[in-house]
Amino acid sequence: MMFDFHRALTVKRWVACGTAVACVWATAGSYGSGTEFTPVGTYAFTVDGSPMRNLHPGAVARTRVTVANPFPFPISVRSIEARPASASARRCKPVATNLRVGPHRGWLPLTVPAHGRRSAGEFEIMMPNTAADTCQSVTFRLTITATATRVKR
Amino acid sequence: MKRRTAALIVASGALGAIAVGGGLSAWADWSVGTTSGQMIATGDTLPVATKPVAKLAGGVPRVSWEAVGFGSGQAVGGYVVFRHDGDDRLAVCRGPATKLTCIDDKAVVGRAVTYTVAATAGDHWTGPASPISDLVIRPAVPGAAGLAVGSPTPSASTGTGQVEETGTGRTESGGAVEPTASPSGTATEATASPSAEPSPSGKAGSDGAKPHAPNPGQGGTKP
Repeated sequence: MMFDFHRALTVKRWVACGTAVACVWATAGSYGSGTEFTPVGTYAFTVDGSPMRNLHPGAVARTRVTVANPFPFPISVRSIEARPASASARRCKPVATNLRVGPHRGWLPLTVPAHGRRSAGEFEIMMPNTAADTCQSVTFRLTITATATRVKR
Repeated sequence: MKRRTAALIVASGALGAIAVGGGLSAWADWSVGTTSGQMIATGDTLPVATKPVAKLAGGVPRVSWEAVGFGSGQAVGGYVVFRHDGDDRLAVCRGPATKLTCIDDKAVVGRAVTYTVAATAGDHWTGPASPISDLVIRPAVPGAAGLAVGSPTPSASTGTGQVEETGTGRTESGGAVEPTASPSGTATEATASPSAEPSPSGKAGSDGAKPHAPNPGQGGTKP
């Protein structure tokens, strides 16, 4: 059996050519339809809520949530949650006996246009009657967490 | 044969690369991710109640005050009234925001006492104490003056059956009933001024008889 140098070279060319095509295809797929590509984690969309004041035992306040989309493509907000994260007074803890956050009130999923902002419903915040006396004049910080996906066209 | 094998290798490699690369890029493209933001909620502060007016009504101290509200205009939850007797402070009335009077029928006869009021909200919120009321002395009921003269009865001073103990843990035990200036036992309704010190005529002045201590000095403290 003789070594066929010509055939071996042909096979190598086939392999190299096929690999190159596959790589180009895969890379092109990650760039989508040729629009600007924004790697995940480079910058994220933002969500915030309007401040609430004058909370006292038995009082209920509502905060409006806004989502801003810095991406060059629309995003779809799938979930929004809020919870008390901290309080300005050490003896007033951010627990349910001092502050309660109701479920999100709004329609989901919500599509936010590219480089746009949209109101994303609201949360109901309640200070129960069990709130500690040390919670007078305290400032609570609440964390809003939202999850979004890119809208495919 | 070898050409066919090479073609198969190339095709499978290309398909594998497409599957892996395409799948990863699709995942990376689709998931924008999760983000967190913040919002602020600020607690209100209970206002200072107005200076209460303490008068005698039917021989019993009657305390009244004006309604106050939160800075936002909303009503407070209620009020608590404290009786000050010397260094002791005792919650004698606690009620809703609609009740603006308090009858202190447990006030000790002959003792010069003052009152303060604090707004409340919920189960635990208590506002700062109001300015101290004028002194008021509960007159002896008919027949009580003779009993009290010269023989203070410490046990008669507590009367904690209806009053609510505050967080200070202090009570009025040890206070003594002192005779009033009207041996006839006529219970005149009058509010004493801070300088009006009753004259315990014929008082023994010993045996632990506590002198009047018209020094509330508790204003501004929280329960």
